[in-house]
Amino acid sequence: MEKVELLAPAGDLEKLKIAILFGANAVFCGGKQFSLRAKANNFSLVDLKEAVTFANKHNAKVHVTVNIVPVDDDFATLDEYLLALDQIGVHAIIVSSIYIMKRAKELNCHFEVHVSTQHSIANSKAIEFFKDVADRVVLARELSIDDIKDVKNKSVLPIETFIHGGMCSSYSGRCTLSNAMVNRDANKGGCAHSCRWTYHLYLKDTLVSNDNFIIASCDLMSIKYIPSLLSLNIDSFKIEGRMKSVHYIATVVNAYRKIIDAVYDNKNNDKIDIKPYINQIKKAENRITYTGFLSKKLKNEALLLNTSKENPTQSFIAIVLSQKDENGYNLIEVRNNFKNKIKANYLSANGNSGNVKILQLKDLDFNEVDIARHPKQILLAKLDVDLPVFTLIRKK
Amino acid sequence: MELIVKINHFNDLYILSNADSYLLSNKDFSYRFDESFNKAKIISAVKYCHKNNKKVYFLINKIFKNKDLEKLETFIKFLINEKIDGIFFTDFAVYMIAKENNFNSHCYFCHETFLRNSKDIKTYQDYGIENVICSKDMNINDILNLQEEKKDNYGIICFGYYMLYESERKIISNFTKNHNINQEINNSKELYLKEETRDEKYKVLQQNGISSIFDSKVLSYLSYTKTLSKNINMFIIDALFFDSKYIYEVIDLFKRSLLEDNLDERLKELDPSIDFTDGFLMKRVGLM
Repeated sequence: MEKVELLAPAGDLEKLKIAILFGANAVFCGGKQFSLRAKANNFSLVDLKEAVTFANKHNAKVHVTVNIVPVDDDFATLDEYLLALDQIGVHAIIVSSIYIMKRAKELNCHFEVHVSTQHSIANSKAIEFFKDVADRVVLARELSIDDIKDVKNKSVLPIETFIHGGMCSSYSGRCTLSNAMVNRDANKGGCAHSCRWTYHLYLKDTLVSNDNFIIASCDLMSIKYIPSLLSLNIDSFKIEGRMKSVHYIATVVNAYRKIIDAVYDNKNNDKIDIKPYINQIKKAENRITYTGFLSKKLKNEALLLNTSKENPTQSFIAIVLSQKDENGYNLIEVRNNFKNKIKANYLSANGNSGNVKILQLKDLDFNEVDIARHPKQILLAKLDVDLPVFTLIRKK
Repeated sequence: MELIVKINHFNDLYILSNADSYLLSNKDFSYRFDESFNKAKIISAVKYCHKNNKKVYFLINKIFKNKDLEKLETFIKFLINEKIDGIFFTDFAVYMIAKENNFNSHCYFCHETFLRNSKDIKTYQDYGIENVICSKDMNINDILNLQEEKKDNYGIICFGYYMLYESERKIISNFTKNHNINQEINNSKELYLKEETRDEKYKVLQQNGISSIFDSKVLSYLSYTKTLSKNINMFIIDALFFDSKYIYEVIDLFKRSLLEDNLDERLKELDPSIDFTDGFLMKRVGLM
């Protein structure tokens, strides 16, 4: 049986590398043109070239989002852009516009064309429409496991489904709250997240309740359904979140990598304890999560009832940039402030984790540092364990 | 110009006699409607309309799961059998089933956000979807890029409250349940949302498990009908939230608008409490 592709978000080159090193089989990222998530550090063609080279070296794939819903003026540079992506050797593009899908095929581009979830495709009959113009369909997020099973059994194209991350409260691609309220085009990457603002409900002119009316949804977390989802032979599992941090990407990708591998390795069909994977994700997840539409019954419509419970995590303190030198120092890059001599824990790209003590901390002029205060500052650290490059160090 | 009205009640077929065509809905296959037309009513509606040289279309704008497909196919076959003039759809499953039944040339793709440039619209036509209803956020410049010779295949929603958000999450009943509010208001058509920093009130509706939020103003392209009719033949009036008498007057104004200018004031006089917008027709929305 072919293993499912674990597809991870990559907001920039660093995140792309981290995602692949921590277990993604493929990553998706936006180019400078035709991509939603306008605020992500979208990739230049030079970045994409480096991304593809890195991915190929690690037997991974790069999918590029070409997923805006264009207006006529947007098409002027389309052919040039598609040919450039083809030249670079990206493995797939994720598309909403039927014209862009068709054009990619007409230009004989070698990459696959994937139909974006913005089409909200929820059944196998709809997939048939795309069979001559696309190579894969990203399903709507409003499907239960049973619904996905039905689609997979009859689909004429490979399918991709979301397993983790942000969920539009509206059907994808159909929300224009942002367009109408603040003139920001959600379908061109300008979503202002108007669904997360504070609203009140009125009946005619009378306020129904002083309580805030909730439109926004919880994020998706599907760890508990991974064994069931794997049994459906879905082609790709997608983690959403190009705007998320390196820490989040590494932690979430690695948790899913480990549970997927554990299920495949579980020849005796033993019950898999999902708690360790959930606990790992909790170390980086700062949003309230739920199993979304995967569950048969939606609790509170999977809406975000209490945003005050969402706290940004500060636990990620540094990333290892180099292995120990001859004097026993690793180069590390600071991400959140921490004190010298603290006990922390680590997560390496190979999935290993454990405790680490910071024995000594110096700046690049060899001055002792008591508190690492400056994010992105590079320091020398003596650690009590050997840690490979790209290991994340987190507060306990 | 073909003036199509998405009607609220069976009686509208008689009352709105100045329309050219009617768009019907059903609770199992449509969102955002008033009266659900069951099979008996559909048969009567088709008979009445055809006798009076009017066209009658059906709106199937739901998103379907595999478990719904059998029922959908049966319904589409029923519509074809009963000589419905066309099906407005958003889910490609509807089109594929219609195609298998040689009815694809009577299908009208009416996705409300994905049909906003002339190239995508032309490409859908290349792939067999001949008739397209432009998205609400299509700009006038892009509409004028549509092929004039195919104007009979193009439509646009020219009047009504337009949808900004649509979800399978039951946002109203979830709210009333969690805050011990009378559940009877869940299906009210007089609910509004107000964002804390804005004055506008956005209509919100929950119907058959689907929640919709509408713009605070009513869309009207009355001043642009003449220009738009160069490239578009079907003009759709969405009567949801309006009474029939008012819609009758609106239809009349749209018909006159091909020959007369400055009818906006007359429209405003019909109900001074209504605020109008030309939506996205004359503007480009950006990223920031």
